[in-house]
Amino acid sequence: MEEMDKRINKRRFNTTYLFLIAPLAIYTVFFVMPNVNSLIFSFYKWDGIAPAKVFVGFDNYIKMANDPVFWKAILNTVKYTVTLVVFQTLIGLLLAVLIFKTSKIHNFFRTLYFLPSVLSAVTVGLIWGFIYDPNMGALNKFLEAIGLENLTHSWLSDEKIVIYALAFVHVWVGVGQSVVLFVAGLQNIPYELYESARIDGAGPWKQFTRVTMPMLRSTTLIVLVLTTIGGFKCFDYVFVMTGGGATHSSEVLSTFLYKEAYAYSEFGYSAAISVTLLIIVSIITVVQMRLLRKKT
Amino acid sequence: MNKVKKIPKYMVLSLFAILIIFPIYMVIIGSFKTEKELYNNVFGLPSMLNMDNYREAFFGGGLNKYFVNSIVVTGVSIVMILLLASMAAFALTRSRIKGSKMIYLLFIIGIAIPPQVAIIQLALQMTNMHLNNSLLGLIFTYVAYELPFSIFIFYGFMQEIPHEIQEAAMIDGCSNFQMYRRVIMPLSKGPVATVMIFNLVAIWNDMIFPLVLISDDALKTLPIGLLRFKGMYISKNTVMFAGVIIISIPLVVLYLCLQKQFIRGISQGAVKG
Repeated sequence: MEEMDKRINKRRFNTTYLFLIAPLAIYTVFFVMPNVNSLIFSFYKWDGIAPAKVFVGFDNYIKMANDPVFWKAILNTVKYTVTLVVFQTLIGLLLAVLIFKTSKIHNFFRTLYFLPSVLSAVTVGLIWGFIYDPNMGALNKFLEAIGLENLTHSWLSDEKIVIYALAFVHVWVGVGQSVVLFVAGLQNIPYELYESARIDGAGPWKQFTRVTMPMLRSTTLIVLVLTTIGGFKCFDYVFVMTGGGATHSSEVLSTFLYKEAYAYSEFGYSAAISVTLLIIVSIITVVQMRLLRKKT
Repeated sequence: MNKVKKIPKYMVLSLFAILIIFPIYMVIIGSFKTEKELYNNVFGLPSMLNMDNYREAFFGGGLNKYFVNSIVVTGVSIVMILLLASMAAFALTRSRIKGSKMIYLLFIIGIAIPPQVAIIQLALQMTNMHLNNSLLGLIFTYVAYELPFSIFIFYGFMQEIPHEIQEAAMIDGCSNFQMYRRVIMPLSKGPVATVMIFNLVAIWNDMIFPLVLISDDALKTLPIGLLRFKGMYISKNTVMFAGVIIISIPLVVLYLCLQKQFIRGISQGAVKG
């Protein structure tokens, strides 16, 4: 029997590697290499034209720390992320609590809330770009129609609100995904828990805070982490609707690194911003894994 | 009593339903209006169903070309991803090769890394390899970037297939390749569906890679082709609306037919970085 095992293992050994050659080759060349190059490039200066790049050590990172636009982009990214996290989580939880029991009408609402998730970010950006348009847009026209003229805005050019207007579009798309995650979490809570809470005299609100919320801890954590990472990565909606804005009023990390490379030909600096983005996202991911492990 | 109690609940549900439906409704009716009609009456129904905007978007705006490119890129990428991801997961789960844990780790680290981190370097590298402005370069990029999540899904599933099945087939003289094709893949319909749907939505809708890799107009895919409308039809929102409908219809129809699979595929993919 051992002989047999060895023979099988040997034969397996020979051909198994063949299965890995193509996936590993494509992954290494088109994924690993550009990412590693990004890290290396962040220590160089290059304008995209000069024949050789120049090693500058940590200069790009020092420049970044002293660049007000970088801090503006960080602040905007944080504002965007906080808006996204708060609204996508709260609205998602509210709607999920209302529709988690399986029924035809509940399924209808769930299907509808999830619909924006199959639309392209470009189409979403174009639709909302129109809705926010100060003259033609539906939002201002709607506000005028219901007599709230004083609330009308140039949503995408008002420096104070543009970043929230953009984050709201992301909420519009993402809420359905939170609903689906929370619905799955709610369906996993054993019915008996509610029953015994009721016997103990707990009303609906008490049941929610004492049974539902504690049982939803890990789902909530997942939603929080996913939306946080989604917020820090934001690019598409901002790029399509404002491109970061003329005076960086809605600049976020991703549009900033894109501009530094394509508009200002600062390839090394752009790479340093990329690496910073990667570090932020990695920290969130590691914290997430720690928290989830502690839970189980 | 019970019915009265449910009124606030359905009011909340309907309010959010309207928030989702309204922009979509506005685009659908807007796509049949003239620009003047849209300006005067954003919310009302169009006076007649004129298809001029669709004709203009499809032929004048070049969406016919972009449509073909999108189908080619999405289709070829998905076939390659299914093949390569399942092969890699098969090799990593079904035989004890040295370093398989390390290789798996190398692949799934990719799940957490956002594409923005390396797009600029990717574009530079593609230019050096003469793969910029080419659908093939775009396809390789999608395959590389979507492999981590796809391998993760296949790996999780294949790990659970009992080893006895494999051993029995081995003793019957089944080769590794036959094992993959005849034994493991026919069992893996679930992960195939998940990987297919997730990648269909991700690649069909993707903007970021063609944005940095494709500048030749004839090679653009739908999302960046549509992006062009923003500048080109600056005062022609109705044509843009028609474009939005054209690019969205295939996935929306599929979604409405296969809701469960779509929701599973996309929300599993949401875990992706």
